[in-house]
Amino acid sequence: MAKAWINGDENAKQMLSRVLKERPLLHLPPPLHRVPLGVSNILEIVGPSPSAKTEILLQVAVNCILPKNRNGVQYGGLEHSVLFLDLDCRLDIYRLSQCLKLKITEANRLQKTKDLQKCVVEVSDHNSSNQREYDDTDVFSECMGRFLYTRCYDSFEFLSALKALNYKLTSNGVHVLMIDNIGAFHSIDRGFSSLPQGNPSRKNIGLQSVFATVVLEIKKLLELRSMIVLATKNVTNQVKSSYSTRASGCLKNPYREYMPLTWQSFVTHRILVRPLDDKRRFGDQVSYSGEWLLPALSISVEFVVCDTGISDSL
Amino acid sequence: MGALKYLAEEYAAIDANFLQFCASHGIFSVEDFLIHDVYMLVASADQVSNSDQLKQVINQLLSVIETYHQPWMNGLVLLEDREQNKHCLSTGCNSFDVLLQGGLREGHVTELVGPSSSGKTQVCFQVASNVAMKLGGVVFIDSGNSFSPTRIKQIVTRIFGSVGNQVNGIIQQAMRNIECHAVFDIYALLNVLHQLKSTLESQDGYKVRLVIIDSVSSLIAPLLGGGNAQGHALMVSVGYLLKKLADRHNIAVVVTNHMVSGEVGNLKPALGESWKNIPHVRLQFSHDHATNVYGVCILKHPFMASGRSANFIIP
Repeated sequence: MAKAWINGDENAKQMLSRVLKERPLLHLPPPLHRVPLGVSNILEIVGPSPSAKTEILLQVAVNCILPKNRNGVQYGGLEHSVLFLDLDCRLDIYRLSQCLKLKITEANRLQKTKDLQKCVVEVSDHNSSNQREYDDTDVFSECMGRFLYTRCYDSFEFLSALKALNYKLTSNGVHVLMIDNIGAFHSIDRGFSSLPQGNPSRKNIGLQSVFATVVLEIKKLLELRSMIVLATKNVTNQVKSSYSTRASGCLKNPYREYMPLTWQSFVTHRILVRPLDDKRRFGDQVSYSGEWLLPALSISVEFVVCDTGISDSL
Repeated sequence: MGALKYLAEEYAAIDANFLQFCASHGIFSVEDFLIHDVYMLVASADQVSNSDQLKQVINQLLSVIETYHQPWMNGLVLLEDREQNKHCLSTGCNSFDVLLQGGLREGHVTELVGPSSSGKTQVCFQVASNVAMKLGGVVFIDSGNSFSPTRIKQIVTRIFGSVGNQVNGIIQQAMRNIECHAVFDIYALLNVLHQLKSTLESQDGYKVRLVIIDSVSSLIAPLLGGGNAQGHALMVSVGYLLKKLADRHNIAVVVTNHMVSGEVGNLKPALGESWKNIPHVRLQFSHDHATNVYGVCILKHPFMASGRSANFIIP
């Protein structure tokens, strides 16, 4: 009995293939795809405005909500549901639907050419192609249904959204939680801490306590459900690049860190994106550079944003 | 949100007993409850005699909390809302409309940034006249005494064309549709915006399509700098209030941002880095004095590539 329990029932290879099948790894769009994200990872996308942070989130979202395959067409998606917490209140859903439609049409086109190559002899009838057109809208609405969105106008709405998620969210399937600009209410919350409390036993409401609770609630979400967290963080340049910071070689990240330590240490992965100088524009397109800070890869890649999404600048 | 005791009036389950339990943990308001760990509260409720009842009330409070954030919506609902309620407002200037694929979008906050006399205020007048003539209410918040009814009259007459006696009627309609507020500090601005919000929520017939703040930077910029945390907090509050108005009441919001001299003699926007993530759309204006041609360039847009530009003239 006991021996059977000790004996393994699958080897590492089997386990890896099982786990990867159940919870496939999440990649950022290439060329930012070097570090894969797994369940319980927390990625922070850092960058000044504008640096295509929200665009990266939307591209990942499209990849998540697409099905793996439907009606014989390979869409290559992950079939996860996406929970988008918009603290910047700036998402235009049109951009998501535009990208999604492009991806679906592209997948169908590929499938059609494949079909044609496969059965040149068979006479293709119009009915089947009509059928496929009809399915397009089905796939589209199925995907859009997996994208859930709410916006928060202050930290308390953000906290109540997280608390309600903990209370309500069922644990089936993988959820990808996206937080667009985690530091959105930073300057408002910072102002709170100077307010009098009126009671010694009362917890001080302020930046620290808000983020302690945010981290706690996300931790609870991760404990009970398979979830990946992606958060963007808007940063501004160092107010004054003093000699000491320049001398100590802080050139790698010239932006000011303002988030409380509880959040900083909570993040497991971090990537820095920023716009490149005007001189290096490719035609009309603005190009951006991306660099992984955590885990630190000393390679920085360049990318551009076009209608279809993010791609290499070459 | 607010004090827990006010919730007690609405929900019978939240009784004096529960309020006392919360007070012993330093929880007096919903905000206090939000920054507390629910598990800890449940655990400490276990040590009290009437633990089941307390836990029930905690659960009920959690379901109340759910109504304090905006509801979750799926992509289809969002897309439908956008298609049905968030229209494009034509600016009345063709090349401008083409650049923006139809005009200023309701639900968006659009920022016009440019140096002095680059056409920002003139574009505001143009859009205000066009919307007031054809579509509905405009709120013009003026911080520099730049609002000019004669200029509006001029623009309306030009757009309408010279069809004799009908012009007066159209001018009257346009003038009736424009509400102008002179505002000289940020508190007055917040006051106007809060009043607008409550009027929109309480009066059914009242509808506004466009809110213009010319210029928002002259109200906010003096508060920033010098390590002043409150200035940034006020700026962000104004930003979120505008975004809330824009989204909930389907209003297009336009704000202008003037430019000041930066480090190496270059001009830079008065509201710089920390303001950048407030507006949906940023448009940069320029003016060529020799040819009298104005230029506009997209710096940021939710679904269009930045860098596209257009030229226009102001007659």
